Amino acid sequence: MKISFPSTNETFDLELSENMLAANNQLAAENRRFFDSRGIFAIDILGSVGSGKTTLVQQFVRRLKDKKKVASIAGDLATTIDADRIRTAGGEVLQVNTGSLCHLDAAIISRAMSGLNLDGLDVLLIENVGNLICPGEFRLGAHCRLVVVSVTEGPYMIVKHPAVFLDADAVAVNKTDLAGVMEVDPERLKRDALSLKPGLKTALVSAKTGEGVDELMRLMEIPGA
Amino acid sequence: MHEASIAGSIVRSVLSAAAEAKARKVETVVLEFGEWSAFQPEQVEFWLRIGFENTPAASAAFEFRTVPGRIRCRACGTEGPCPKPENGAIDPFIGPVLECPSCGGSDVEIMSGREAVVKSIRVKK
Repeated sequence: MKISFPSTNETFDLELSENMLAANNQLAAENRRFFDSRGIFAIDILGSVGSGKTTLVQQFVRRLKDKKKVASIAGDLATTIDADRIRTAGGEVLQVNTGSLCHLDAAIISRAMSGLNLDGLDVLLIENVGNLICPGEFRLGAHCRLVVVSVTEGPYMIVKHPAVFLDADAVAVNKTDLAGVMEVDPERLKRDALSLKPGLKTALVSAKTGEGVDELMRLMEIPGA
Repeated sequence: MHEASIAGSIVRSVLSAAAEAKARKVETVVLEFGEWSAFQPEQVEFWLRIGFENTPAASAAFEFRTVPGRIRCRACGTEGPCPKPENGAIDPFIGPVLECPSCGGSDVEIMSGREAVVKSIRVKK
């Protein structure tokens, strides 16, 4: 901080130039170092309410649990419904209730880590609060950010929310089993994502039937996939 | 709603700077937000008013400045502002439609436009 100039005898301008996202970014970097030091591959999973994040997490856990030690953090405003659902697939699960907060942040994840048994943990799946807007600005320190979009959200979900895709590493176009009924072309959603960010890892999946999930996991380079 | 988080950071930053300077009162807070940041000034101000209640910044005026968005095209190297969407939709939630103004490519890097910065404060001793 520097005092730039006195405008009157008792009034001063203080130059701060402080980045308000820096605190979260620093914590996210600390989380990342913590994950790396323990050999944990962390995934931040974003998507709208009802896009199929939890069902996809269940698929990931089922496919990984015999090969790797997996734990999940489920973020929601209220209830333990998601944690209970993920627990049926296996692995340790921690529910984080944010109350009225619309996103997880790096501090929440840092605190949540103390509630998990980290011994020998290989993969950490973090299901963010269902929302395609707010979580975008708050990095958690994960190695991969996956955005889940489903055909039941209509054909414009990606073009209407470009910001979150610019920060994503992978996109899953979900509920392909319903594409015909919804009359939404999953390939179009995939093209929308790629036109926003060339090089995005994209896969068409049905978290319900499991179709495409193996390919998605390989693209995301999840250990054990 | 995510504006509440950023407002909390602003409150902490402003009050600690004011305390350090032994200021009695914060008169002005200058904030810079990127053109493409997902924070709406009206919402930020709403939460700031609440956060600054009963503090030396309770009656502070807020000055919001917009940092223009700039891109760099990885394909052709063009650097500069990014044109607004043709349909004229300017909604911070919709965010940038990032296309290189020279070659039309979308493999672009954001150089600026996503900032959320407390630039300066004016305080009274």
